[in-house]
Amino acid sequence: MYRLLFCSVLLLLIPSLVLAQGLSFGLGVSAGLNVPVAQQDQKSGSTFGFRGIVKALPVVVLEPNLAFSRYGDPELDLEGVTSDLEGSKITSFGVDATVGAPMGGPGLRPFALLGMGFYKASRDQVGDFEKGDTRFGWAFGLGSAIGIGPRMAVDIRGKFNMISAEGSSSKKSVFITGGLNYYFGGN
Amino acid sequence: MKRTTLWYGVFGAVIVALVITGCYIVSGTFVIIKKFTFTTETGFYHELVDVTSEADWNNHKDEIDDIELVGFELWFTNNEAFDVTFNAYVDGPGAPEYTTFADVDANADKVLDNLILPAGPGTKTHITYGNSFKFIENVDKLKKAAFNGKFHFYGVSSGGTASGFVVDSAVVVVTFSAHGS
Repeated sequence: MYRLLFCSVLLLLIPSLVLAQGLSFGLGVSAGLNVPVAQQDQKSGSTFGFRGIVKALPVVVLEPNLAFSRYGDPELDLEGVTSDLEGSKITSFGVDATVGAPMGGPGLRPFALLGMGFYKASRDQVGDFEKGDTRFGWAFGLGSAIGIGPRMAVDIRGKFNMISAEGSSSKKSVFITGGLNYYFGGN
Repeated sequence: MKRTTLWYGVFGAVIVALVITGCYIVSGTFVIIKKFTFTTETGFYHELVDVTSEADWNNHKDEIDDIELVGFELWFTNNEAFDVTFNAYVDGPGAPEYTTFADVDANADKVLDNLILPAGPGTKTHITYGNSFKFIENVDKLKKAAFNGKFHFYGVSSGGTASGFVVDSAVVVVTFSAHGS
């Protein structure tokens, strides 16, 4: 249900916004830390991802994104017990909207972001316990682009992810990433 | 500038709404580790595993949403002349304590299947937590049993005479998710 709604909104929204504003887009790549929040069964790991960058409104930029993340292996706190459980892998895709940073240009350009997407968690080692279900999630965060040329910027951001789980629970993590954005078209 | 401020306001409002409406913000995943030794030993083992006295379980017992993982760490000694096969079963805390393999086989759910334990004087085998998942089956029934925080855990060995085989100790690791109140 969520997936259908999400895809429908995306399909309707992005082309119309791009056409209305004139083509202005970019591509970005980023990597960094994946830090679990309130998850004793995971440790900090890594994340790597790509994003498209589409100017939707004068101050709002949409970023369809795809990320490949993994958690570090957790440690069991009991003497004599082996800590040999692997951390989970997360594949996510979604759309973030950022406000505050225009596309391209020099200087420090801070922004806020709000996003949503789908997250697939898997841990091969545990078999049927973690089957790789895809879950809906929200994200929000802060970051800054640092222009290093008219069409290129270093992008640093922190993104808090909340992924729905069974019942009222969620899985939470923070992506702390650095990356590069390249912009095409007009600003 | 005014428009940017407006959008920051919209973003902030959405985030606050997510928090206020309880969109999964206050929740966590907890890991409980319980070590035990079986109370009976001669080819048939039983323990009423109980994690309800553990602090994390107690603090969240009314808010548990899911048992995410149940794994085991087991230490065996097989002094027999032949390899021994070990299987484990679980049943809910409300079930009676079975005293025969026939009752266990008929009523409980097998969760550890066919651990083959090599034989020889003083031969020890250690099944680690991560490795135990290779032998676990009936995951949904194991999760259901563990959801109570208490469950009957039976071990049954076959092969050899049983007198030279012992489960030295065992650890159960329960990972659960719970939301805040």
